[in-house]
Amino acid sequence: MAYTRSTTLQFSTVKSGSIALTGGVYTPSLGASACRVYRSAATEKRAYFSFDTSIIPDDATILKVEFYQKLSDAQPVGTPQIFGLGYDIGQIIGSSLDGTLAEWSGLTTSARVTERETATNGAWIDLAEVGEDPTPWVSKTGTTDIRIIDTSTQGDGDDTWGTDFNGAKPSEQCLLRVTYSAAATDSVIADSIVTTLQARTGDGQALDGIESVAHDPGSDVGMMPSIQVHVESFEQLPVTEIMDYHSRWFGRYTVRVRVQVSQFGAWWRSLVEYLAAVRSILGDESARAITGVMTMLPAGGDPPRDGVGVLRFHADVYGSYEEI
Amino acid sequence: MRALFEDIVNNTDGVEYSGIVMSEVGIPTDGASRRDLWFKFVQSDSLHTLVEVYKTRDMAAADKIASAAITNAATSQTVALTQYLTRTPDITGQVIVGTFASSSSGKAYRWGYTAAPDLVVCDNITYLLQARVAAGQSLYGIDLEAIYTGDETEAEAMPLIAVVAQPVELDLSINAGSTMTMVCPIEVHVAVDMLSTPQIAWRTCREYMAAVESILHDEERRSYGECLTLYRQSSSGPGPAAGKPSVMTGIVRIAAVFPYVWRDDAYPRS
Repeated sequence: MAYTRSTTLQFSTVKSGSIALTGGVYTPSLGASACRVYRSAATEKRAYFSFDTSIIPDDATILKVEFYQKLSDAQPVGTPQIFGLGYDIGQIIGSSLDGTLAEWSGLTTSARVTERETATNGAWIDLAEVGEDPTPWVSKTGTTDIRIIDTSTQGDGDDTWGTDFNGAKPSEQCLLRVTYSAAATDSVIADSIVTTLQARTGDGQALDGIESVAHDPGSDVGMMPSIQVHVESFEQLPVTEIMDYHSRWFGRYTVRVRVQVSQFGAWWRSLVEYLAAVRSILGDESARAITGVMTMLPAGGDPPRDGVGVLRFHADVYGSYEEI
Repeated sequence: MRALFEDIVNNTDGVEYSGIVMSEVGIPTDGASRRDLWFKFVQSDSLHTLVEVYKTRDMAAADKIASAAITNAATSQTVALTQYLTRTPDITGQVIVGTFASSSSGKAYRWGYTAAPDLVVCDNITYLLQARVAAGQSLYGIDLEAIYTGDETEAEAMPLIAVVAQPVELDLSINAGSTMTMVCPIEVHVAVDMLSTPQIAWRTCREYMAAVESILHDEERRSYGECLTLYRQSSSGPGPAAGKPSVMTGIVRIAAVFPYVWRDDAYPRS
């Protein structure tokens, strides 16, 4: 059985921005507020977004690619006679956005997948609605870039015009959503949970101080504070037949996350803080980043005792039967 | 999944200030820098307020990781935070949203944004109870250090009062997209030794329990600014502690409610 899920990704602000071409010179600008397209007689700017899509499993089949387009509240003055934006996807940006000719117009590792005649704001754009299929251009091991080009025709419009992307809030920025299917196993989910928690153990982060995040059993409990992840059970939900989804199955894994701290000194506070961080990371902040899981919901836990606290989560998955 | 609230207890003079109201902490979806944050607002001049961002509630100078200058206004505005020196985590890209009006000179107003608001309630309960140990007060006879937030196994002396939080309950039924309600069950454990007779230990424990209930549910019921409500659930005991026949223990259970807790995975949020 294979599961299907969507993962939503934010672009890297240090690799995204725009390139301006003026008098044959390419000049890059970085950052969310630099993402813009612009046209004048002397200058053209193109917008670039770089997404880390390596979270997608290597064996996944990409089903759909969408771009959430959010525009800045303030837009450049001027409009062309015929407005147009072109969307390229692929491996466009080098190790950084340098302003090279390949980044400006190269199409050997990318393709024009969509063109639109309106500046969509605050909505998802299916990148397969016009043009080439975008799915082969999504990298499952590295980054996937989006390049937006102004394809407008000036005609009897203004001399200058442009489109600025991204608002001031993080929630007002462009996103990439990739829907894919892949093999569903409990080890895939446990691996992803371990990886997600390990990513938060850095200096100053929510799980700073955690020495070990690993599967249980098999983890080194001698290293404390430690976190052990264990997928306890799987239940296929009968709702499939009731809701007449004959081609789909729905299932629920119960995941146990055990946090253990040393009992030397005042241990209770640090244990409760770690438990709260884990609950927030898995049940909320990174719930959509857990590979293979549609939703991750907190499902209670055991009271902290003797330096050990336990949280449980319901990890819901769904997929399609291969034989209908 | 973090509660955002004014940390009234730690405000100057310990009073609520309606001129500064945070409504949102905007965080990038890449999430590596997401963590508990504590904010301190102070007037920098007659037109501006300085916000400082800390990693811990005690706001130790070494924990300061970001700051921003805010132009005071009576309408909602979005303020971008700037990393302080090279302190980690670098929360560049995070913003705060709210109404930041002019504040009084020299006064500091604080807000908390934490995944463990139950610890804030526990600490505030501990402060309330510690204020009642003087001679003639209702918790006289208990050492100040014996009233603490934490597990009973951390105790060094009795009688003791340990304030602990049980696993948080999340109410998703009223989820309207990006908010939920967080209910934090809190237990206040009272323990006395039975070096004297069990009858006296029982009476002493019961008296302390009654004093705790009266303080939390009645005398100081308006003191909880961090949560919307704090209500009584149940109590049990006094009785011999499990596995500790020389200890008489009782438990007072209450619940703190934090409504409208943001869900951070719900993007775009607005």
